[in-house]
Amino acid sequence: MTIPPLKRILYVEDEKDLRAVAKLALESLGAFSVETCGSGEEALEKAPSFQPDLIILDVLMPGMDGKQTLKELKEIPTLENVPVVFMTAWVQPGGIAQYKEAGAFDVIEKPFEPMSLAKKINSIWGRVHRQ
Amino acid sequence: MIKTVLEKHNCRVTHVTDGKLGLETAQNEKPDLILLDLLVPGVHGFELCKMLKNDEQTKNIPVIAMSAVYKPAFAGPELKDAGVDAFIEKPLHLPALRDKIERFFPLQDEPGEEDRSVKDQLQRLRSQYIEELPEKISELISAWRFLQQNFKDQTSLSRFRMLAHKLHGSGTTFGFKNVTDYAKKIEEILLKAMDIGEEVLVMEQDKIIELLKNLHSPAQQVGK
Repeated sequence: MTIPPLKRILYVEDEKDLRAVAKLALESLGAFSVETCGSGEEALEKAPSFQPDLIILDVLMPGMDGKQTLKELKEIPTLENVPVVFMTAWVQPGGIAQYKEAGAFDVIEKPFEPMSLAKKINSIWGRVHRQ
Repeated sequence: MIKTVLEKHNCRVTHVTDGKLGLETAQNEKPDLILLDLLVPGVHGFELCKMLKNDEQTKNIPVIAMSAVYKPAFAGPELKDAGVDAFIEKPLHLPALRDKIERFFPLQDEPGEEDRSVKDQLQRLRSQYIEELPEKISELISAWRFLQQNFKDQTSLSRFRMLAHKLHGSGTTFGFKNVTDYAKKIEEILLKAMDIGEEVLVMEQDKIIELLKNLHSPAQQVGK
């Protein structure tokens, strides 16, 4: 099966330092086009026009959290099949299964290593299309 | 030293210091190449090489033997008999090592301009993080003081947890593993408190204060 190229990533994270680092790492080392949002609310606004191939969502954010954001993103018809990856500093035992039940395709644990983030995302993208 | 050099070329290197462990590791990991010091403890390098070459799982893995004692001029037959694929004298001359390795597979070049430029930009982002770290930790300490006034206040607890969580999730990304570790320990206590009740905070407050002090020290150092 041919895997379509991953081009556009929406990254939702309330920490501006992490937004800057992930955007730099993903654009420079993965050659992706990355749009960032500082909140779930902003993601709901930007996602329909940006039309990402993949969404990375922080779980614990002030206001709308990652799970709620995911739920609402999936209600937008053009985004319902876009894979969502949660990024979180807290993966409790059984946590990954819970996040997947909530609709996430995978989970990346924070803190992440900037130089290997693009590789990790590419590997997840490969799995999205092998399933 | 070899490990560091090879890792710069994007090789994944497993280093073992004992012959028996070397054989087991080779069987388990099936590396692309084995660098073998002939005077490795446990099993003599010649013996170990024979074992590797007689094992179905490892027989096709090239072995480069290294030694400061044996010289090909004198030990040629033994090297051949052991099945050694190439030999290099110690002390190692790195370009010569690279040549020998590249007989079996090409090494990737060290990180190029693009990687270096990303690393430079990451360094700038790290500097910004360092500048802001003392303020973030002061904010965390203030949130704790606020919570201390009333351990039952869920809003204060959530805010304190959120701030600890952010440091937990970002420290290591910017090179501050200690920040991640201390903040993670604080967050563990807070999650327990959210689960069980405020008595956890009463019981663990000394520990929280200690962890905050530890966090405060790197923040003070970088803030200077």
